[in-house]
Amino acid sequence: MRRLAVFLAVLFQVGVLSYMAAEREWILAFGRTVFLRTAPVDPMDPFRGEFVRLRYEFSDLSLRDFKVGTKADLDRKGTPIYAVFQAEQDGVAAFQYASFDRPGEEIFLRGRTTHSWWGSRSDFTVGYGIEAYFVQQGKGRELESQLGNRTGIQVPLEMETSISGSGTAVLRGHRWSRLGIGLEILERGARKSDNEPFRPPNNPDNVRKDGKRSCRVRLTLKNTSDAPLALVLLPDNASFVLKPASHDSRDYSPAGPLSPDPAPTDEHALLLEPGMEKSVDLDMSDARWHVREADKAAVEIGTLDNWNQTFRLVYRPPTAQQCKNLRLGSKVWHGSLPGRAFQGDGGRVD
Amino acid sequence: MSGREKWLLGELERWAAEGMVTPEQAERLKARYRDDGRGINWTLVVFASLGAILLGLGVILLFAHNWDKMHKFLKLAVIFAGLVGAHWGGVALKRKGGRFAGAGEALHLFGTMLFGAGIWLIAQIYHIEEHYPNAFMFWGLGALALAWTLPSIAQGLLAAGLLFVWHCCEAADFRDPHALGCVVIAAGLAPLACMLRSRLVVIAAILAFSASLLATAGTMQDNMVLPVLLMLSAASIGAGLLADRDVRFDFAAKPLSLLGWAAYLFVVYACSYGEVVNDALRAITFTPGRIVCFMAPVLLAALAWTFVFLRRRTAQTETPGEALPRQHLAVPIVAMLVVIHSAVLPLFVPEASHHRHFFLFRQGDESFISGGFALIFMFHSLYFVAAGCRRIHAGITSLGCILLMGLVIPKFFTMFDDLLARALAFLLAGAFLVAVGFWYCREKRKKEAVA
Repeated sequence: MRRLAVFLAVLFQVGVLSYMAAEREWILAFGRTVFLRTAPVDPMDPFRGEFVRLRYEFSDLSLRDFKVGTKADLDRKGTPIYAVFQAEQDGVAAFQYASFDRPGEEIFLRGRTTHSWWGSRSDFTVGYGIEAYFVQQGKGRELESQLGNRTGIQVPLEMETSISGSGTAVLRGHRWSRLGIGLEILERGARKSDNEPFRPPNNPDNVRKDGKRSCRVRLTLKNTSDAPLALVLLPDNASFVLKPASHDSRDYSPAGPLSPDPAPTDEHALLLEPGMEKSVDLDMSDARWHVREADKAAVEIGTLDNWNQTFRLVYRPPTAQQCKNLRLGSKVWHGSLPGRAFQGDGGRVD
Repeated sequence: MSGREKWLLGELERWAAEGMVTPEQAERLKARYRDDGRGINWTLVVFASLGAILLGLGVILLFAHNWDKMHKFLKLAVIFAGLVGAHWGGVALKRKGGRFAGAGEALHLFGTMLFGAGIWLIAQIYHIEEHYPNAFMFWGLGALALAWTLPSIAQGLLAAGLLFVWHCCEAADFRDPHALGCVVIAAGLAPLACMLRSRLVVIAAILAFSASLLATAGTMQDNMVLPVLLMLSAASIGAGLLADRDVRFDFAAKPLSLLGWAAYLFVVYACSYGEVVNDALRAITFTPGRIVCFMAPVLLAALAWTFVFLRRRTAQTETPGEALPRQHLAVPIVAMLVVIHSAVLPLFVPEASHHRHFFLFRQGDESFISGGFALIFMFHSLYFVAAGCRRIHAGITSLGCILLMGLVIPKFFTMFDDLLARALAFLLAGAFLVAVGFWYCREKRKKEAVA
């Protein structure tokens, strides 16, 4: 009787390990495989040995990302969240929206809200179980150097992921995005008054002379693949979108384009050979980049008092459907490529 | 074999040589207390356990070094083969018995360590980044299952540690302490301790359960920690008194009493400081979860002391004069006063729950409360001194002196900056210790004279 009991206890241990392995093997064998693009790397995060910490665009959500739902739905820690995706070019799955209920769409990930220590109640972090990527000793440095740094081009990883019908994901491998993006602050916004101290980094030399409070930035897009690809740069910088990167006590949203985005033409398409770069200078004081809080008036991002409020510029070209008649239509890179987070006055780049 | 038994066996040789006992008597006494090998060879278990941990780490590092070269199914095969092989070997060796039993115990422990290593390794193989406390939970449950089925003290200790880590990770990292954690620890370890009659498992169970409950309390509201610790200590002291009178549980009496008194004296000492009283004994704002967390140790303490008083009443009618030591009476009284202050009276004075300070006193008056606790601590210290001198127990006497000095000297230093006053404190303390020494010697001489 005792031997049977010991056998059952050992079987429990074997069973737990078997279940862990079998569940993942099942997802790898029968789950849908997509590529999920990682969010820009913040060099402040330590690279922990041979263990890459991953973040995705859909790791940090706000209530705006949900079709339905209120703050009360997030009061419970560990709330299940479903992130819904749509398959795009090259097998990449693009995040569409989040839901508290299990969706009927084909591709979705199941995650849980994690404890948020610093953010306001309007934003929160979701964990999907695919935030850690173990690599062999020595290969981590290679990954780190290719991911980029604060001043250079950042090339996102695209994680090959198998997803089960219930939304559980398993990482299989990785590849690099074909397009990298870099951000440089050309000129910082002017101070409110001569008495206002400079926020770090203290460098008064590259401050705007025209008195505008928002910074001027240079976005650089680089073809990091082995084949040519095309960019679509619409007039009035309509191929770029400004998104809040972090939320403090207030919830800002883009004030919206002044006019509808024009349809893409061959003039707007630019071919980039492998290794080629294209830079675009943007003045963040333009009306296009204004933001508003709830129903208040739109304001320049450089005039915000929130020390922690940062934004990202996202390269988002027209869809494949819109580009299908272009001469370079088959080579256009489609997707959403966010740049590094920065403060509206250029005082800080994450 | 205990230290006393070893001493006895050593002394028997001398007694036989001096003619105090006959050689036949010496042999009969030796046979009665000889180590029959049925006890655990703790030396072997401790070294084998350390070896098992290092072996497990070596396995992990081996996998990490040959990451790409080893196919994942090969890694899985090594993990499963190691786990099954270790337990199989453990069963075989334990069945042989004798000196192999200790080695079997160590192999089972190694197997359980491989189980834990396997969980982390499979997480690495499949890049699993899920709720990591679950790994400790399953690991602890695996150890607990073997602790029950073998049965095994070592597995029980490992289970206590792992389940405690699980609960604390949930509480500290995820701010989500499970009531289930405390229940699993109590329900899984307490009966195991009774089955094994193991003081070690009792200590591990008490520490794991108490620390888990305190982690829960701290997560819910930080000013619940000291009251909960006080209730747990009261429950432990009461349970120790009950266990002392019951042959089925007498093995647990000493651990329960010692740990209970240590915690109780710590709380009373801490509360002798006004800053602690100000922060830690505020009125508790109750929610359903906090009610459960707070009332569980209160009910345990109430239950334990109710039975203590009922049993003492019954015992006194049978053997008059066997009264409960007076200093034990302070424990339930102090616990009751803290419950009334922190939990009951605020119900009648709702605004007290919003204030940092005692509702009966104004701000700055917490010195009355801390002074009261200082007097209680002094009472216990002096009682230890007196009891130690009367019973000629150097340990208890010394403990009383240390506690009293630990209370008085810091208080003196915080109250007086003057060097003369501080010198006076040392002089008085020294004189007191000398007086205790004389008292102790006088009691010892009295007892020797009577004998």
